Amino acid sequence: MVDYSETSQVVTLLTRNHGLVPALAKGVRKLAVRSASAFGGPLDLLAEGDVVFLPPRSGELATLTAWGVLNHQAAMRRDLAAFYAGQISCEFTIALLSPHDPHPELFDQITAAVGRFHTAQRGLALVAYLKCALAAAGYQARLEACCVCGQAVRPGARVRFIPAMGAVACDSCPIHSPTIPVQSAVILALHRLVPPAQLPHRPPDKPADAAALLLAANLLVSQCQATTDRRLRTAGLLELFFRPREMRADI
Amino acid sequence: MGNTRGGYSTAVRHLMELLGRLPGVGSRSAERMVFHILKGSADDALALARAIEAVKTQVRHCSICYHLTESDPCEICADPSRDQTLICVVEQPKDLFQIESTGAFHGVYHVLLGHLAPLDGILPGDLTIDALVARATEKSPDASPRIKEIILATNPTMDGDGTALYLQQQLADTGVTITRLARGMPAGGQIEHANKAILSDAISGRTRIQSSQ
Repeated sequence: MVDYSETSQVVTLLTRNHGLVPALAKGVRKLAVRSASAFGGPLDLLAEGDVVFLPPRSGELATLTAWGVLNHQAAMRRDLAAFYAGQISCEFTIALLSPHDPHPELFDQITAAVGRFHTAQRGLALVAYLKCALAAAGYQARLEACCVCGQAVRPGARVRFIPAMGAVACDSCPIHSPTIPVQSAVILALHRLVPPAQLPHRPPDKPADAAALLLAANLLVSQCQATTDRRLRTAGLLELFFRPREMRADI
Repeated sequence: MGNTRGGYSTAVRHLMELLGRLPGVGSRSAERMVFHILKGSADDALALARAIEAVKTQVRHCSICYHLTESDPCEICADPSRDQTLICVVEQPKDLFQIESTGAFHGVYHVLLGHLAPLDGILPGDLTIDALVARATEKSPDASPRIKEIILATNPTMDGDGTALYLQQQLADTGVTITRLARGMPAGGQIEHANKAILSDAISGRTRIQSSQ
């Protein structure tokens, strides 16, 4: 969301049927109290709602004509970790998707993930969403076997993740791109990780290993950055999200 | 002689361009302002120029609360009649002016000079959070905390709420009471016409009615 004038903003909407829609929202900064007004409720980061917009006549900017909020993410507004996860998810999505390219399945997954960001499943939900977003954009990570020799990733082995390829390689296979050494257990767990919508709502019997989740999230973020050739501003929030007790002001 | 491209001299065009960069001022408004200045007296025009120069050279941030001021500390921080144990934290000086205009707050302020916005690259180090934490940890001569309450009056947007959560975490060990501005139904509003976000905030933020007996 970027301020356009005293009362208007340029916003990026993620819609189920039209994908990312950059739009001009005239008058949206004057918060509407009445549900009957054109902007009934806050148009804010990760808020869910019904939207009406006019497609762009030229250029990319649509015109938002109506917005009705369905969920303004009250739980996320009371949870710092959920706030961090929301920021990371937003930037990741915007970095990967092109405007006006619909991905209904990803819309459903981010909705499911956001709904879990304030629960005990938050870490799994974030990593699962990052994996889904890469797959939806056509960059599904190949994690089951070495991309050079084709040998299956074995438990206990040490492998390397190749961000630019979104693939893994054996420790001994020749790779000319930068790689990140990682235990195969992390890669195999990431490979098995189901999409956010399939994660159970109840707390897991055994809490997920925060260090392994952080490493997995960093692998996916490095793949996103290598693929899009763009540094994610929210990448530094991962550390705070997975290690909240080590929070520092210099994030 | 200035360039007269578009019918305007270079000086006129330059002033129109500069005025057009002001918020809420388009090219037509800038044009009207320039003609107004040209039509008025030279004294008025020069007074305007000097006033602009003065605010840029004389107005700075208060070293205590970061409000805009010509004297340091600012009038509010230096006012002994204000409750110095109560700090209201706002995002911008214009938010401070709004709260002051209500006449309902008699404590002092702390201006963050923005809010956390990781997507825009604005992180805690870009705000005056360290100075706020330092104020909150100051001790009185008898070693008790000098500040008793900090009101987080950041905007109720996602970024404003995130900033408040971050401040709450940073201030948790200071022993100072941390409060947040109330949110929900505005005075004079009607439930029938309120949007869902406001109603949901009002219900979750409901308060107990104190009995007068």
